[in-house]
Amino acid sequence: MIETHALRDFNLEVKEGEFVAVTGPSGSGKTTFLNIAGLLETFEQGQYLLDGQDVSRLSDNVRSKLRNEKIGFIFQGFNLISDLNIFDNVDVPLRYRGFSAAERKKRILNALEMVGLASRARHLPSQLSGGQQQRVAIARALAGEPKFLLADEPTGNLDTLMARQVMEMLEDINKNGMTIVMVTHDPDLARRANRNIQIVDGQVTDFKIYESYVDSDSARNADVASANKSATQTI
Amino acid sequence: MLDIMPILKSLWRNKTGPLLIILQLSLTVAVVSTALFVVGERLENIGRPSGLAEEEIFRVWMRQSSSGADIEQIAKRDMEIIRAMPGVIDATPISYVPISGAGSSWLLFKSLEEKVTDFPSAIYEMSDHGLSTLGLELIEGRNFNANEIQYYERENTPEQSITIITKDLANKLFPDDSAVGKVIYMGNMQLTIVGIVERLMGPWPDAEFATSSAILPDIVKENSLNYLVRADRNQRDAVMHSVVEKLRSIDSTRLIVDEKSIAQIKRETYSSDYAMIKILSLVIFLLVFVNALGIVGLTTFWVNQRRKQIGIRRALGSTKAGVMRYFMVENVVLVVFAAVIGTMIAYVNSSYMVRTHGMSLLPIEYVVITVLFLLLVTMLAAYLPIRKAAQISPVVAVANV
Repeated sequence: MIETHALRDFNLEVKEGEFVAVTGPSGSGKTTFLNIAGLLETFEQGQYLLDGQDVSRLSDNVRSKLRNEKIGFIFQGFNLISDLNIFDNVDVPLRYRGFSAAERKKRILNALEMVGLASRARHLPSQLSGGQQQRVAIARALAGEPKFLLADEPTGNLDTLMARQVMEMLEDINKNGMTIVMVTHDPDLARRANRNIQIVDGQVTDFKIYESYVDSDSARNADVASANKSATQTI
Repeated sequence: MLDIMPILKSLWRNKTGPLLIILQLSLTVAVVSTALFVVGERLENIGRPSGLAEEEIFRVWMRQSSSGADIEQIAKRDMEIIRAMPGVIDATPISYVPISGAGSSWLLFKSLEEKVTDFPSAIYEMSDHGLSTLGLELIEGRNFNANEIQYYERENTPEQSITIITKDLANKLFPDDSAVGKVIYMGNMQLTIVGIVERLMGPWPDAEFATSSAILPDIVKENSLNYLVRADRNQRDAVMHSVVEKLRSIDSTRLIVDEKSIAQIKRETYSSDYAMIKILSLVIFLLVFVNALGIVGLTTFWVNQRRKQIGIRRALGSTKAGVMRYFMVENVVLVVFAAVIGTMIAYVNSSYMVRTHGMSLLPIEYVVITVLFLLLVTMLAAYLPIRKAAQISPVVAVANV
């Protein structure tokens, strides 16, 4: 077993309603940050406060529950389940949540409506374009009303036009109050976020705040805080 | 909450593999339940009570080499010696051995004039020690007296005698009142019924009249002699050995053709049933084994094929237990479909067998037992691959493969 420090002296705080882009070259620790922020992986040292709760050392089951309730994932490869139609795809996390059938249906249709795909509910993912699939994934992420969206190269598999549509949709969602943390290697994309974090060799080296970010309530408690001090990743 | 609908939809989108497994499982349900039924019937057949103290009796079959020997005297002398031997409970000469496949049967009649209604029955000839040697239970009337035992040449068959019959035969002959004291006819021989025993199986267990037997107090003077000896259960084989030695030492000129326990004779008579049971058991085992392999294979394949999907589900909030439950339910769904189809196949086959071969209809218990057993085997077979599935990390969802 080799112990490596994928992230060191890493301290990041994300406030509610922020749109934060995390950039960095490959191998910089971006993916490790994503996995930890998404509660997909555990880490050895440091602390992760999510919605005011210390989630650093939790059992697999509790982390599964938190992922389900508080985090909306948007992946580069969309990650829809190919055997299930659009409706059932959005339904997947809601079933884990234990909502009633009526509640699930309402949430699914609302979410699909929001991304403009309600008419495609009975289609299979393979019958949709990449951009539409990513919008379904956004609907799936939003349907459970998470604390924040965690997007991993959300436009990485899309052509320019579709990428723009998806980006605009994320911006709209953020304007409506949703916190978004986006990991990307694309500086142009990152620039559209309120705040940029750059990770190099596991350390935050730079961050910029863009003008478009106006914190309407700076006194508000930090709702999403990510691993501070040093997070040690064991491979 | 068991998510049946998404599982059904997902199975339907990838139906080839599941359909093949369902077909395989259905045929297994049909074949195994039918095979279990046949095995059950055979076991029941073998297990029928014979009325005999099966574990305590052995037969010695001898052939007198010197012609003109006085069989009556020889039999009486042998009996006296055998009965005095340690470990021996009782002994009797007997015409044929029950359940042995060799014997004598007659059509009995209630009168000499009216011969329309006949009563087929196995006929045994033995001494007054017969009942106690065979372990028969006398439920009505009396045993033979020693002075009623007749020794005669086959051609000098007496015109009348007495008989003890089984309860089944008595009920067939005289369903309305007691058979004791009644007269029946065996050929021209008039037989007065003096006793009724609970049960005595005939020489042919598969015959329709296997439970109808009549005992006559005769010993036919022939060179071929059968003795039945009842011994203490634990010493049976040792006693058999010493009885044979003793008989040889009394008269070295006669040939002891065979000595065998009734238990052994019964095993030989039922050998085809035992063979059938063994073959069908092997078929059942192999079918179940092949199915278990199929389930291991299919589940492993599905788990590997859906690594990414499992990772996504984990990322979206499924617990490890949730992943395991998903695949378990998937397998249960397969077995449920197979149970329905398999039951139909089994009953189509069974009703055909009822019509053409006079078999009885497959009792539903056999199907239920088969399905439950198959479900258990399926769960066990799927367990390891499913456990592996649960170990797939949610990080797989992020990895761009």
